[in-house]
Amino acid sequence: MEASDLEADRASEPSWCRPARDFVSGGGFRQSVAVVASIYGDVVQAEDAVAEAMTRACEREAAGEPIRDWRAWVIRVALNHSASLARRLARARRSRHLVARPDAWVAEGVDDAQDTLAALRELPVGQRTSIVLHYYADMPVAEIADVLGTSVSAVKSSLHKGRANLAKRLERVG
Amino acid sequence: MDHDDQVAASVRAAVRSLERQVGDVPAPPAMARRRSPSRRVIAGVGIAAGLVAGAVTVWSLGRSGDDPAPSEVEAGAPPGGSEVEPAWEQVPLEGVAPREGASLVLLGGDAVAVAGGQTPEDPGRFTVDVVDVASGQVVSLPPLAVLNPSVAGSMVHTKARATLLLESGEVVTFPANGNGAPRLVAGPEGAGAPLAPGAQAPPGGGLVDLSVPARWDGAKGAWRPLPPLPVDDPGYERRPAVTDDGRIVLAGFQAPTLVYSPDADAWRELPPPPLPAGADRIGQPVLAAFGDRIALVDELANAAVLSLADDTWAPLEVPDDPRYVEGCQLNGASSATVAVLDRCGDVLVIDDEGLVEQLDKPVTPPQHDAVSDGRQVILLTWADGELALWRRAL
Repeated sequence: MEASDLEADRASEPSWCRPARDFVSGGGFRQSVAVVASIYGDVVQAEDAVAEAMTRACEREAAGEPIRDWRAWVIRVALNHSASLARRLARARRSRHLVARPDAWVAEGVDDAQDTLAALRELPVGQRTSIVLHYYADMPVAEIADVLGTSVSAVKSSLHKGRANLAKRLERVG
Repeated sequence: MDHDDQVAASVRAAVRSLERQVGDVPAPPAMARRRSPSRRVIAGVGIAAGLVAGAVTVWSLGRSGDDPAPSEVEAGAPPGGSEVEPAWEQVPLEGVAPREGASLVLLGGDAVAVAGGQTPEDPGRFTVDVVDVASGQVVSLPPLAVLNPSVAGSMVHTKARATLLLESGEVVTFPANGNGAPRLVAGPEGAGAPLAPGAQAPPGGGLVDLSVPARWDGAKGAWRPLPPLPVDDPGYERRPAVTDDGRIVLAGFQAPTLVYSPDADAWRELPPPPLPAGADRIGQPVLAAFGDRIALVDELANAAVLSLADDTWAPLEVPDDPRYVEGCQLNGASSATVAVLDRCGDVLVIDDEGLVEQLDKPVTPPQHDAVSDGRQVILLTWADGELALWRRAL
């Protein structure tokens, strides 16, 4: 293929909207994928979920509905998308009586990380999400409440219980 | 480094190990030609259901699944509402203080309590408004200062009064007719909650605090220690189901089912709920008691019903519906004949035959609490601090 053809192809490729590019360059994509993967357990699927959320966000921006907090919005939509996918996969496996897939919670070469992610997986989703957003993404409690669609007091409660439950589980494995 | 710091450091290190596996940002799809997958599914459902019904379905389902805008409140014609289908009616809440979050408690008849919630002006106050959902009459009770104004979720009600267990382990009772102040009755040992002078003990039982662990003895007006669990720590979520007669059920997918009988003051062990081989397990299931049955649903829609009449579990099929897609935590509520499980605006009704019906919700956003007495479902929603109350006949 000629160089001019490559350039033409590249020019015809869709590109992310400007807020999305800013989000990516600020590390938002990488961080959001890590958050979603830690909660639903698959990095590749989390990448798809975050990209899907970014697409919806760009569509909203293009429709004249600016998004106040891109990080909270994208994580929230990506978590919803991932939950949907997880349920559909679970249903398919139930209906076909398939053997469980290998654990997708692979943290390369770090046993402690695998233990921590496995322990996280046992927590209720509200506690799991609050813990990851607070301790990994450094989100304030009010922003977590926005992501989860719940109250600040409920997030505080989830963090308190989640910490205690996670500590108990980590003691059990290690 | 203290204990909490160690947990935080472990979480940070673990999630960063995932971050290192993240690849490049994929190219976006062509926006103009694109429709989201869930909307395609929804549209298919709508077409199959017929043009008119389909249009209503698309309207309602599209909002529940795709649009997470947190501040939109859209009261509309109840989706699916026809001449034969019951419809959601909004109950006025005149005089009720705006607040974020609250719990609904059945008080008998058409009376409900809107309890707790965080008020920006005074977050340390526990506020209760008693609402007659038939007439719309509201009685606001004097606020009560408590250690933590969040409702724990376990609650009982009688014809005379309702009883709530708060997050901090305190017990609050208040009259069913709304004539009188809520009372802080007692906290479990070690919780440090004061005993209100002259407090009346609530009749009945049902409150359980497994962090102590203890159950509320309504007759004696005191917490009574529970016997130790007959198994090593199975990692149960510490929120059990409690039947009207005081039996306590703990269940998870990876541990035995435990049933506490107040008559025998003992636990007995049952098998875990049924799941097909290879089913996914994630998080913790939520339990809801209705009569002699306990419904169990987890966040991947694995579900089962336990009959305490014959101690048997049966699988419960949750409908495969595109609305059932949102990643929110289940809440449980119970009554004599119907269990209501709500998740991100979805209300599931489980009747005495173990069947599941999913009600269309009247509003977005999804934040809400729901209760049922078998005749009607009552739904409390909130957005930007504004509460709204809805009722729907069953």
